[in-house]
Amino acid sequence: MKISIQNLTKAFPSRVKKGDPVIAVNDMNIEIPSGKLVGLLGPSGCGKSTTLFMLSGLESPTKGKILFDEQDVTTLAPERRGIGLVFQNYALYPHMTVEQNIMFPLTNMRIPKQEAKAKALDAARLVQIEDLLARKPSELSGGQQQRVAIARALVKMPNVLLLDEPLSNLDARLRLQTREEIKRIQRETGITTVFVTHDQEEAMSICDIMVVMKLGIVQQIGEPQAIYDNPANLFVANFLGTPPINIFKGKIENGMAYIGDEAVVKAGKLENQEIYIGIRPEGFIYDPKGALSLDVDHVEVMGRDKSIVSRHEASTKPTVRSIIDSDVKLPSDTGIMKFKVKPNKVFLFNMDEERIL
Amino acid sequence: MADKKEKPEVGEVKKEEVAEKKPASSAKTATTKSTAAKPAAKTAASKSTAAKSATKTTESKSAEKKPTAAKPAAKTTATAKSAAKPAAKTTAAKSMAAKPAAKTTAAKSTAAKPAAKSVTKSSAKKPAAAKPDEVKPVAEPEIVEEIKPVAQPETVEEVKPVAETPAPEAIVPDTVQPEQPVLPVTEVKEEPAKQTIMQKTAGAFKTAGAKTKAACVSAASTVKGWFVKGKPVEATVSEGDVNAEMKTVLSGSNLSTKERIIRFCRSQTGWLFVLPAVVLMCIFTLYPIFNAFIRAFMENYMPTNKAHPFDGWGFENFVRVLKGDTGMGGANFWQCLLNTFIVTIISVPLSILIALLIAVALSSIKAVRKAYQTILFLPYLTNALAMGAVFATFFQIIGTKSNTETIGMVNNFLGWFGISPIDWLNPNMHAWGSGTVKVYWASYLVAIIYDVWAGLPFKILILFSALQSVNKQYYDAAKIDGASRSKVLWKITAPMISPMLSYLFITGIMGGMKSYSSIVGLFGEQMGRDFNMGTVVGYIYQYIDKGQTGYAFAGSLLLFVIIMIITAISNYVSKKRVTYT
Repeated sequence: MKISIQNLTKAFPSRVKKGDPVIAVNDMNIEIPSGKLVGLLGPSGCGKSTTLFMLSGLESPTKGKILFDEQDVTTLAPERRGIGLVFQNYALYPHMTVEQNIMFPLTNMRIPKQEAKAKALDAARLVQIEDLLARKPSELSGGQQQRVAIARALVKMPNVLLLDEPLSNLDARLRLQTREEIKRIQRETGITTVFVTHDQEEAMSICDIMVVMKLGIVQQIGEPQAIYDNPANLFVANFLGTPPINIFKGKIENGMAYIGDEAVVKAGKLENQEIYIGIRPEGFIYDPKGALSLDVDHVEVMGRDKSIVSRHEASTKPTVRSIIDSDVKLPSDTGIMKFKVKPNKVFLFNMDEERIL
Repeated sequence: MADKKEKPEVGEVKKEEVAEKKPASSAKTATTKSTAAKPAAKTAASKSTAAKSATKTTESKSAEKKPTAAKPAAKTTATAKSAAKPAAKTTAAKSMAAKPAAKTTAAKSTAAKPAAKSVTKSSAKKPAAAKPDEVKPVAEPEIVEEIKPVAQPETVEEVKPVAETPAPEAIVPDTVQPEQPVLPVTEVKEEPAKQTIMQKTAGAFKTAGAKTKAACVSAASTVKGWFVKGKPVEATVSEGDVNAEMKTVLSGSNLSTKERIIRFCRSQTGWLFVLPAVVLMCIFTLYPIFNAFIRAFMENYMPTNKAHPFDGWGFENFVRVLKGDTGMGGANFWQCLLNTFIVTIISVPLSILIALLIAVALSSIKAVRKAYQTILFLPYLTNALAMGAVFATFFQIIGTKSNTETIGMVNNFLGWFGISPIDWLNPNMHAWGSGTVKVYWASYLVAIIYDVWAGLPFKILILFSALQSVNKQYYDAAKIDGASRSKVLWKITAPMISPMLSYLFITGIMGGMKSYSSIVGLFGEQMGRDFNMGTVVGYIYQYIDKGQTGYAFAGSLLLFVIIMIITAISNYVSKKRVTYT
């Protein structure tokens, strides 16, 4: 099912009397094609969960419209939207067994018990918990509870599946496993899925489409790789990638971008101005003849590659982190080292709007 | 110093060997014993330390079936030394060792140790002699370090528990400062005794046959025997006995009486803190309960007749109460029980249900919630008799119909629908059944309405706060799943607060079975007409009033049993239905 969000705005009344309302989501416009896995990504408080709850119908928008296919569902009650929602804390009913939990939505639809049981079993199989049906949620691990929650959301064959921070309660290993699982389930069922996360790695790894948000405003929409390679602004560039991008204060002079007085890359026809220069950690090449000199503090060996921690006075962060292949031989002593940069890993942002140039 | 360096190595070597020989079993036994080892350490101090040390060696070697000459010697050295000094520690090690040793060539190794110590003696017999240098250092205080490696191989854990015992200085092998005198004074004193015992031990092991399993067991037990009782024990104990004996040792049964008393007193200090409460409880709760229990079995109990307070012991009070044959007229026990039971069993669930609905309604409004809460809570602050009097006025028959005054509000109201006035407060007017026990439905209805109303405030308060603690997410999930309101209430809300519901139910039943003042308030001191609306407590009170305390005691015991039974049943049911989250 195609989802289109038009001028969606949510304002919460201020906690202070006569204060300004808090705008959680501001004039959001997204088109989500049918059958895609979409990630809403942003730091906490950016309105991503609010957006999800508006999609589910638990929150009603202040302004704007939500269309499922061509149908306006903005004011439709949650149970009539045909959605499945997986809560951050799963919200499994503790007094019901796994099977009763999964069957709960079906019993509300007045589906005969036998049929409901069969469907519950199917859903359980899909998430591979069919042998846990007789247990209570308290007898399950976090990962298993998560699966039950997904099964409960899927059992009524929703048109849209919504996941609120689905992986935040799992440990690191389980998180990796579960996110692949979510991807697999989404592929198998072909259900349009929207999920919320603050973890950029998680979003990048499983999303078809990624929506990066900040303070209720959509920053960029697109495929994860495209966003990573072409961030729309400094925030997006900063938010994506581990280790994060290195940001330097610099300037453009005569078609060259300078960090300090070292010309790092060509700036094409951009006019002379003060800029931010972002260089991805993997954008550095060790080269004694390179243009950029970094004061190397130490080198961390990671096995596959080396991570060089260095300083530069133009950097906006205390350290500059660059990652180079472990085969590259570095001088044994620290101190000033020269680097070349890969032009496609360098982004220039203007100073005042922090927009990409 | 060179020796020092060598020793740790020895320890290591041993370790490896141990690991090879008894990978699983020795490790296990060691651990099991380790706990036991603690108390032993203490006791050991006062008794024969040497014996212990011997055993320790035993243990350390126990892993090897047939120690090669060179190695055991080295080991022994270490052990022997250790034995001499940190007696307490060694003890611990030994105590544990005693068991495992039983299986292995304990005898041999043990022998080797003493040898190491008193060089001349045992060294001649054992391979220890081969390495005289090592033997020497053993005797010196510095070698404390070695003790550690020795002790560790099999029983790494043992060393730790030992450290917790009261004499830590003695126990902790101070590897760092070997110069420091490690021995507690007591141990020093016992030095000579130790020596002899060790010799004995060695002899015992030897004679025991050293190599066979049984021999080892007995040898170990012998050592223990000395250690425990200060004198040798017959060396024919089975392994099981050894264990049993070990336990007694470790439980501190060989403490002096004085020490044991002190220990006991210390462990009972807590009583001091609760003493005031305990004393008051004993006087005002326990004593009356026991008293009532005893008096219930005294026939014709007459406290005023000092010479002959009662006729004898028996069940006559109970029989008479149950037969309704008290010779006093008045209340009938079965009638009172039926009244109490019916009113309670209907009013409690009903008031919980209504309270739940009100609480749910209350939690879904925001505007005037506080005001409602206050109003709903007011009855809780009102006296039961006063409320009863007001209710009695509502249900009066006087002043209805024929009379021009209108005070019987309920009857007047029913009159609008053409229902003729009911004499609510006179049980005899509206009863089902004949015979001695009847169902006074009209009066029950009044009592139930009263009880429900009076019980609401507290229940609303409890349920309202329980509702606040239910995670809102469950309701959101239910909304998404399209559950209807009633389904949410019964399938989600109620189970979520089921612990509170069951609490209210059980306490409500208990309270209901003990009701008294409400009935007095509604039906007067006579509880209807001649106690036919009486409650069990009313029944009891009546006999206290009349001076027939025997029946009162019997009645209260019966009530006690009945409440116990009902509570047990509700507890059983609630265990199945209540989910604690």
